[in-house]
Amino acid sequence: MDSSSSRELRIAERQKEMELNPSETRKLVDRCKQGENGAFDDLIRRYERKVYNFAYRLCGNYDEANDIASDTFVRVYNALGNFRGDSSFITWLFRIVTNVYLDEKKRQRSKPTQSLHEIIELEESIVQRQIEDPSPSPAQQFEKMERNELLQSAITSLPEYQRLMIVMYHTENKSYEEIAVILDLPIGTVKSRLNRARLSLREKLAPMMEHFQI
Amino acid sequence: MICIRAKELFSDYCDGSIDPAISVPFETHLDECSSCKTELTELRSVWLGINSMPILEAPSDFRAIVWKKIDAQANAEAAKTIKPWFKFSFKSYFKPALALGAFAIALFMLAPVVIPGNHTNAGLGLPWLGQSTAVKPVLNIAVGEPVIGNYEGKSWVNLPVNNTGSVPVSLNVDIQGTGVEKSAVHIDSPSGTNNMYHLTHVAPNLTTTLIVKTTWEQNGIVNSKVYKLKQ
Repeated sequence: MDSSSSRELRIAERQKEMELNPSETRKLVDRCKQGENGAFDDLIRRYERKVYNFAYRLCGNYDEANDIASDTFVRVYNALGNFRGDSSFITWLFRIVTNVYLDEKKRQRSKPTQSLHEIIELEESIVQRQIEDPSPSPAQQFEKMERNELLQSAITSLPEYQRLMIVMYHTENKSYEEIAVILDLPIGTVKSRLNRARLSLREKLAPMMEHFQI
Repeated sequence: MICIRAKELFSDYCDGSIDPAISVPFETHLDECSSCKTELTELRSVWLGINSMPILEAPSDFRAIVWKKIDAQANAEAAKTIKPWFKFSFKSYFKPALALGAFAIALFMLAPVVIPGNHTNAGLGLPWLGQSTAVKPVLNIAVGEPVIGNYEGKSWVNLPVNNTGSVPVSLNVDIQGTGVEKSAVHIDSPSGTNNMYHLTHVAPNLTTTLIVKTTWEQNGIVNSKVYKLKQ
């Protein structure tokens, strides 16, 4: 089975690429606690891509991802003094993104709006809400058919906790243990829920499986 | 193995964590069940598809957006501490009004005592209204801080006494220090305003420290103040 080995390669590649050295992060955090704004700026620079990606994969919308990611850093700025280092900074950070995301969803539920990106679940497949466009661009239509778009739409249509787990494990390369810590759940629960989420994703994407022939 | 149980093991099988003891019956089931086999193949494709989703870059102005929000938050918190003048607060208006009312009532009750002159009964039935009240002596004396001044080639310790009252006051001043010619002064009945008493004089070129103690009695209470003056 090659999915696990490709995941390991991918994790190593990403860590190297993003240079997330924990001891450097710790030093930055200590400097931030001393009130050094320059250190906090470096901290944003270091983690902005990770937080932004996580946020985007959760909501599937650039503007919303921007809001969630920036609100996350504001919360980090406010709460950094309370960060004791019991868990790693990145675990703590992901917990904050998760909370910001869930708070945002709660807020949206209390003030429902019609999103242009809203997912409509039909019996056989999922489609995005179509807004009448007098001049549809062929390039845009083609884009919608792209595999990543389909995947993103399917992820966004999952219930929130399943979505969080899928994104953490598959796009953010978190281990089951890390997800368990971030979501404060037993590992067994994380594994069984993740399995259900994957089965659900497959089911949603089954009618478009021709895009996934690898 | 039944399909439901097999599906529970799909993820473990894909990530390689399946118990070897279970993998045999699991694979046997896959050989026998085309539906589960297809589903597993599709799941693996989706799995690999998600794993290879591209990494997105944060917007170029992302950090600026974060700092803007942090600044806005700080400004909002600062604004909270400044109370807008137009914001009506029942508490803040009610309390001074209540105090003002109490003061007015007290003033009304004490009017014959503090306001000189004859008062006539206004018909309110209050026993003290309309009674003629004699002018009472008023005690009001303020003894200021002594200062060293220079007059006619000599230094003087000046003691400002402000007596706007009509009660005679005895003031005792005791000065201790090098060059002091007269150490104790008794002043009877300072009156009027801004009385300046030249208590003693010392040589202007003399470096000295004077201890000035003023004592006076007011309303039956002995007041005393001690000052340290340097020249």
